[in-house]
Amino acid sequence: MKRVEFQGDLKDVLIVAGVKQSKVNEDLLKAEVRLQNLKDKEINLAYKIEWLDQDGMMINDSSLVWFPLLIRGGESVAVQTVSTTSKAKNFHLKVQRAKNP
Amino acid sequence: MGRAADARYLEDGSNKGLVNLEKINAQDFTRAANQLIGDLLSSNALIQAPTQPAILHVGEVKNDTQTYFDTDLLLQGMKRDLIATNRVRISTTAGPGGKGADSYAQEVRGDLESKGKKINRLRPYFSLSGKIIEETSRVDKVTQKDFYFLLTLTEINSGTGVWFGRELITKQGSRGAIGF
Repeated sequence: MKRVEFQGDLKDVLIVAGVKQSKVNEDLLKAEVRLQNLKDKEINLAYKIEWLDQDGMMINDSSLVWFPLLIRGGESVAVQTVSTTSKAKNFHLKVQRAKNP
Repeated sequence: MGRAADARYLEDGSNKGLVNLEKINAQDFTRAANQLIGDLLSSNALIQAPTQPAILHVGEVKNDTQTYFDTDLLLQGMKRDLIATNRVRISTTAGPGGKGADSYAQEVRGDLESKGKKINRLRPYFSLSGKIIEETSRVDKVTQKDFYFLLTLTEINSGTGVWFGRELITKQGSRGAIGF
């Protein structure tokens, strides 16, 4: 499964510069995705991370919320999240343009 | 002819909800809860308790903003996520002045105890408390609202803070908007 989904025209504007994963609290996954803006102009985004269990089912926790994100031209920014249950085995990051740029 | 009906449902955490400058919106509570939980878990403070899962007392979170809201809007989501970690259990029958969150459960426990029945009296190892602060700045017609969510995790035995969480939600503009 693709872990990062760029919606609309974002695949021409953004790249995934890196993905890191570690464990905190002994058994909880922490994920970091670094996004890079390929253009010179800043871009206003909204992103959401969904944690998935071993069957690919979405876990219902407070991570299910859209976050605003600004990436300046040429800059890369890391977004981080921590799973709240040891059942989380994978994640899915959705990125779209903010409605009010 | 009136205007066409346009009321609709939004999912929790939607980016299409109203964005008010003057108050904390539903998505702001969810966002703050998520970031604070992530920070608390990353600190590994909860796994320092000698007994797992540790008992956590969720205390007062003071609303120091200009609008009234129930701080459970922040805390209930955090409690759900904290329980899911399996690192804490949350006390609902202990609290300041002997008043717990669930008065019925507390009453039944009291009755059982008075009849000589043995009940588990687990003492909280951690206490979580905090406040929410609002700061306003204006330049010309643009207003900026900074909402600080400040939480402290105290280890009750030592009486010391073992985690200090701070999440800032900033909104700027001249009027509210639908979505972001």
